[in-house]
Amino acid sequence: MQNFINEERIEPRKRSTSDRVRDFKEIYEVMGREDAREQADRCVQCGDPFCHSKCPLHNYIPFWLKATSGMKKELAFNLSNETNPFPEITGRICPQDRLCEGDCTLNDGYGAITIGSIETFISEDGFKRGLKPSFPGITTKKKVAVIGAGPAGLACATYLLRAGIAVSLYDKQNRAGGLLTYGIPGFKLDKEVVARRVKWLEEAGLSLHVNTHVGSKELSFDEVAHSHDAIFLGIGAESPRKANIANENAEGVFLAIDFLRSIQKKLFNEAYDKKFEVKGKNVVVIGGGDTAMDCLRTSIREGAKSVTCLYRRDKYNMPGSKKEFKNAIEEGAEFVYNVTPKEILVNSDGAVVGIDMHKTILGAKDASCRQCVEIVKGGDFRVDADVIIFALGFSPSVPTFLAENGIEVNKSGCIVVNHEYQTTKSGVYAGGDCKRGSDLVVTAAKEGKEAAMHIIKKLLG
Amino acid sequence: MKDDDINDYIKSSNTYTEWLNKGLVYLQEFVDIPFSKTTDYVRENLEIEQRYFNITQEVKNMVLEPMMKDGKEGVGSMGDDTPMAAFSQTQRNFSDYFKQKFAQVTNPPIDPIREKVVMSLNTNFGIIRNILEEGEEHALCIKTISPLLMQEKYEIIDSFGDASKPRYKEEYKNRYFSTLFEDNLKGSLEDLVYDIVQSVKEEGVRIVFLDDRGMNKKQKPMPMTMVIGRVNQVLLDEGVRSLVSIVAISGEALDAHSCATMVGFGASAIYPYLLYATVLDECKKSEMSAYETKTKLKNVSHAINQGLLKIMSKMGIATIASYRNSALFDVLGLSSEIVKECFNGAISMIPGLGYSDIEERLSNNHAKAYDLNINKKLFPLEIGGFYKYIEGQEFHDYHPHIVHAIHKAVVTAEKKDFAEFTKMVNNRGFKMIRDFFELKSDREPIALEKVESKEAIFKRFATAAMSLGSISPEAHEALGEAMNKIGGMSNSGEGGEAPERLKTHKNSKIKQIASGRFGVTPEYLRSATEIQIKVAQGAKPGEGGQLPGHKVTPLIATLRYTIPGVTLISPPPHHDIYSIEDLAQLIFDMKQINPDAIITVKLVSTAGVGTIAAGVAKAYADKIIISGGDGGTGAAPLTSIKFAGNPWELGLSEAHNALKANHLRDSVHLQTDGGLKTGLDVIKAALLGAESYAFGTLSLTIIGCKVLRVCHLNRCSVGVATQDEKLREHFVGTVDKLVNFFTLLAEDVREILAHLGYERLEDIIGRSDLLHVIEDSFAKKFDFSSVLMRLEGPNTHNGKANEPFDKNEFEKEILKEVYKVIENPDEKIVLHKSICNTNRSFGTLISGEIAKYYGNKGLKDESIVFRLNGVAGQSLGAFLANGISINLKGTANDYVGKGMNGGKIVIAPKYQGRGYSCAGNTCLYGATGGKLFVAGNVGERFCVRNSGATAVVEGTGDHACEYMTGGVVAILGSTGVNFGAGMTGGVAFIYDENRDFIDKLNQELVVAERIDTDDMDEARHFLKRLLRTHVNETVSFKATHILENFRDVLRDFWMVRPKDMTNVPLNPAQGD
Repeated sequence: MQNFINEERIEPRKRSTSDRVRDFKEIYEVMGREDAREQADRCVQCGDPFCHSKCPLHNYIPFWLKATSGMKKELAFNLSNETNPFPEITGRICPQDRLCEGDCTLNDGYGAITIGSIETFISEDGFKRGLKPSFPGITTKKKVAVIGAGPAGLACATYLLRAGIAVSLYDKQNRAGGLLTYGIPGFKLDKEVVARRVKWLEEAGLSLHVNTHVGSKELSFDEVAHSHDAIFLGIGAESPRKANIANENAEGVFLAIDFLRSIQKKLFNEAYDKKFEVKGKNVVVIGGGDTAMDCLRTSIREGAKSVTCLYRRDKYNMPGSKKEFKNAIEEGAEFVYNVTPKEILVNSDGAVVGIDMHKTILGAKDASCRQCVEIVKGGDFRVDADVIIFALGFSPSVPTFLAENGIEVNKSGCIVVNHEYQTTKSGVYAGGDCKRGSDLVVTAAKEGKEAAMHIIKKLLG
Repeated sequence: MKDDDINDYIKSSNTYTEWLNKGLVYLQEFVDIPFSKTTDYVRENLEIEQRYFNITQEVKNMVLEPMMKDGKEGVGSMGDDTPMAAFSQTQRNFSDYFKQKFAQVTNPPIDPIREKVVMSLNTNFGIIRNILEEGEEHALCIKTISPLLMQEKYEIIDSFGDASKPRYKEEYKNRYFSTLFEDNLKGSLEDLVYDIVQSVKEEGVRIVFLDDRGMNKKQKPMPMTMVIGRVNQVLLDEGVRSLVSIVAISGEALDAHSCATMVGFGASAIYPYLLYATVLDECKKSEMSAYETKTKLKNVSHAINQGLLKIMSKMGIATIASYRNSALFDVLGLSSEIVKECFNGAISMIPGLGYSDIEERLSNNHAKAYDLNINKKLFPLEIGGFYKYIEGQEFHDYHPHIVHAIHKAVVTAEKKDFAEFTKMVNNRGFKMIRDFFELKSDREPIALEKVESKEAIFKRFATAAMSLGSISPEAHEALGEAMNKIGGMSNSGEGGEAPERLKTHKNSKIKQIASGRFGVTPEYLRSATEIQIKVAQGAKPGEGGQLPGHKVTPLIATLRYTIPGVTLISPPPHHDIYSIEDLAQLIFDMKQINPDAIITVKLVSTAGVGTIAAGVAKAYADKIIISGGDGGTGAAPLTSIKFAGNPWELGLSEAHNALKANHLRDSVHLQTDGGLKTGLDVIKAALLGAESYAFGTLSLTIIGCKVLRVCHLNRCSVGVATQDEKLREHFVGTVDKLVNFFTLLAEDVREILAHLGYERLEDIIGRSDLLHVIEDSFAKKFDFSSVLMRLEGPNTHNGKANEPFDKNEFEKEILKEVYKVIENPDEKIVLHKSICNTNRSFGTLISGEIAKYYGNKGLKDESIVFRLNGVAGQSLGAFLANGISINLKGTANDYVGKGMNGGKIVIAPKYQGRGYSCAGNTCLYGATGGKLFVAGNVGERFCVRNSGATAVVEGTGDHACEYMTGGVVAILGSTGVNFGAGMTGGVAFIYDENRDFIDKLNQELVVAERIDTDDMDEARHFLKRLLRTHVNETVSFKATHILENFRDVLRDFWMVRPKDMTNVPLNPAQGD
């Protein structure tokens, strides 16, 4: 270990730009064994493992790096899969530059350990060699319903199943995975990877109910509640935020989630709305986060004529992962900074023809230490567009069954829970975006896991 | 009658050999290949047992792996920042409640590696009989070379005591006692002990196996050390202790410390089945061959044996027979009841947890171990967190958020950022002893402006000793410059300091002198405002250290008077401090070489440090430091970092009160260190009696340290604790950062003072009545009264120097006579004086005066020549400077030429003869240059840690040239044993008339070569010139004889050099 003084950080290999924009396959290759070993061997093995501390799941990063460096693959696999319900997924899609790798001791001048790539490697290599997360089977008489098969729900189900508790997992979509399946495009996360985890959970005893809308006429919340010992709500934050400007419901104006989900359905050969086709069109994406990048890159792959991102701060203040921003540029997305939408321009048919933008400058820092955006007077200009996609983040959607069952939400629509993730209704737990507002996959996984631990404690003592 | 005659008489008075041959059973004779059997190490519930006994992945990585790999204990760095076991909210080992005792000042610790010749782990089983009677039955015992048993030896011991086996002898009749219990720890323990006593008394059981195997969902083991201690105690009370040997079959025996607690409270032997089982399991997982597995098991056993030797040697104990049942531990946080009943003889501090509390903790551990049955884990063990920080596990005071907070505050210098940091520290909960106290003032708050200035508070701040070598030059200089800037004190640590720095703003005001005496020269000492004698170090009290060769860069080599790449070893003791009187002598030496400096003695917190502090005050120290056991280090075994030395609160309050009780408090200044971080820490230290405060890890964190704990690997990525040039480029520390932080800290102190209603820090020192134990159910478990004890009397130093009784008028007068030479360095003077043994440290005062003006360059050779007559007192020519020659007609006491840097000492007795001694022990200890010629024998430990002096003597005692790193020594007669132990540099010539030298040579690091061969021309030439000079100086009969018959006697000479040093640095010019 501590070989950082001899070995440089290397990034996992990426497919060439011209090659990768032609399909939705993952752009990164899984790291090779020797590279992974050498990169893991760079780790300092700090007394204060900042990576581990910063990671929402508190993964045992230094431990599995050491095991990888020492070629103890099974140990690495078990350590990594112990704390993380799906390490090969977080390894691919976590914004490591803001979390573990960003806080890595070596990130100040040496190049952080390539934690994400090694995390993916450990599990993928393990799977190849026949390792699989093991489950005890349903060994208890307890039954828990998990509503929402996104990252929080899957994480919760994983840890409940490890304790031998039966889990019914409900999701309204056609497939499990939530945003992992329908939000994050395949070039970042292969859908087979998500399906594989779901399959293993089913093998472990999970009963999965897709296309099932809890709280609807077919299945009331009460029914679920009565047939289970506890309920976990992982219903996410699915209400897209809007810009509140003129013509925002015009033809050709999409919300990121609808766009991404439809394209993914198309790729699954499922029924989808053809209006989301962008082939040959000029696409403008409003927003600067990871979802915006996903929309840009999806549009490129779908054959858009031009793809432009409009963002209200400058490039250094973009909230998303630097890595994805770079990938978007490589793939041909254009960026315009310091602009904010004023008005959507439509033709006589009510279809989008462009957007008027304000110019902005960054002002003083606010309480959260981000600079405020101020509009520059007289700096308006027009951007032509056939399609405008808003990627401005999400707020929790508040299904009616919450209020009906005395499950309180706060002003922002987030479900209120106590320190055990229990909602204001006893026996009902919640975690992930529906509880904290839209956030990362890894934080959702953490909350699903922690809620599971509290449920286990409650049910099994 | 001579010694040998007496020995021979006694040896032949009985047929001892015959008795031994008949009665003694040597265990190893029954074992052909140890560790080849492993069947007993296959455990059915391995993971559950590992969980119960706290084997985590971290323990595997940090504790087991190094033992398996190298046969050595795991080494770590920096300090221990976790709470003591009693305060911990996480699973801890029972042995964690015990802190090892160590020797400081009152007796020397031993170096168990370099002086293994005196160490022994030999262990006997069987009845101990009246030693005043003599008889064949005394030879009846089973003997083994280590208290650690492996399957083979365990089975053989068992077979001697098992009536169903053919080997059975009733002297070794054994019985197994399970230490498992379901509930009621105290009751179960008493029942068990009753059974044991009965079986000893009624059934003639002579070997008691205490066995904690076989736990299940209901039953769990009692703490093995507790059982051993209690059994030992009751057997003693019943008068049958000497009949029985106790063998612990325990899963708790996982490292040297846990084994030491068992032996320390009475176990003869330990069978660490779970340790071996875990090793075996690891070997299997790595698909190792049977041979490799055997090697790993053997390595682990070896590592623990070495660890036991080290633990014993810390206290200065050489044999495990003396250590067994010695109770040499401080017990922290266990109730007086438990300590009285189970650990009698050990000292109980902060009495607290009783049987029921311990039982509750055991039950939790037990339930957690079996939690595996509820929660299927992919990784079945706990991850750890005791050695390194892990979220949700053991608390670490330097956790990542604290490090980030410090790094932020030092850049912004903003109060709110500092407040973020102090909030985290001050609200950490009950982690350290001070956290149990809150401030309750007897005054109303006052305005902040009324409180003394931050500058007044800066004067009380110091950085803890960190040598150049342990930290990088950039870090070392930044600390120096910053502390000078704010008016605090920086501490050089021991390892020299570049002469260019000494008269600048980068000079460290505190110069340390430790056991290695590296770079301790007259100029170095003279540049100090304070000279600090490090008797012990918090991280590893009672131990020495080692700077590996790869860290010895050209700069460090120059400062430490050695050549780059040579490993530098610091011995565990100061070889000139074996007693309090010796310490007084060293303090006297220091006061001569630098009369302007105050002399400080650094001690480590332990029960009894009060008595030692009183002794140190009587030895005329001006200042005493009580270091917490949590202090840092560049490298030390993990068991030392974790399990030796108490929190500073305990030592400080004990020392403060002991000094008061002895009316000595006002004659010394008291300082403390150990994890101090915030203003509240400083205030609490003040209230407990400390007048000044040192910061170690904190200072490093300010300049970029991230508490990576890799100092010992030379891989410090922030360029603080490394000499690697590439890594040092990443150093981000600045003087400003230090100034920023200490300013914020001083302001924090001022604010609390204002809140307390006091204007000066001075006014609250020793006011422990302002501290109150927080009302809390957890706090109520502990008795803090000894910490908060307050005696009447002065609480602070009176500001006056602690003048030694001996005013050294003798040399002061002589200094006046020679002063004109110091004023006019071209002049010369020769003085004839008679000297007697009350005239100590002769030449040191004058050397200090020369160093003050001329540094180590000193004066021209023979500028000041003394022709003395008589018997010189101790420390003749200590720290002698260039330009002084001392010619003594007569003899001298101990420490001749200690620390000498230049000049010449010649001792020629009035009568020469075979074996006549002319100088005492430990001559030339830590010498960095100069020449010594003695026409006679010298005592033990000649030239220990010599790094530059040239010497000729005519015979030495034991341990000559130990740890030598430079210089040339010729010994024209026999030496004692253990010659050249730890010698990594320099050259020695030995005239071996009796042809027995090789047996006395410690061949670990050095090699002896003949010099009568062709390729030894240079060496011969050098030796001849050296001998001629010796004859010229001393008129030595022996040297004359050798020179006259040089060709003939040459074949009896050996040249000893370190194995690593192929190029012997013999400069013929030095031979003159």
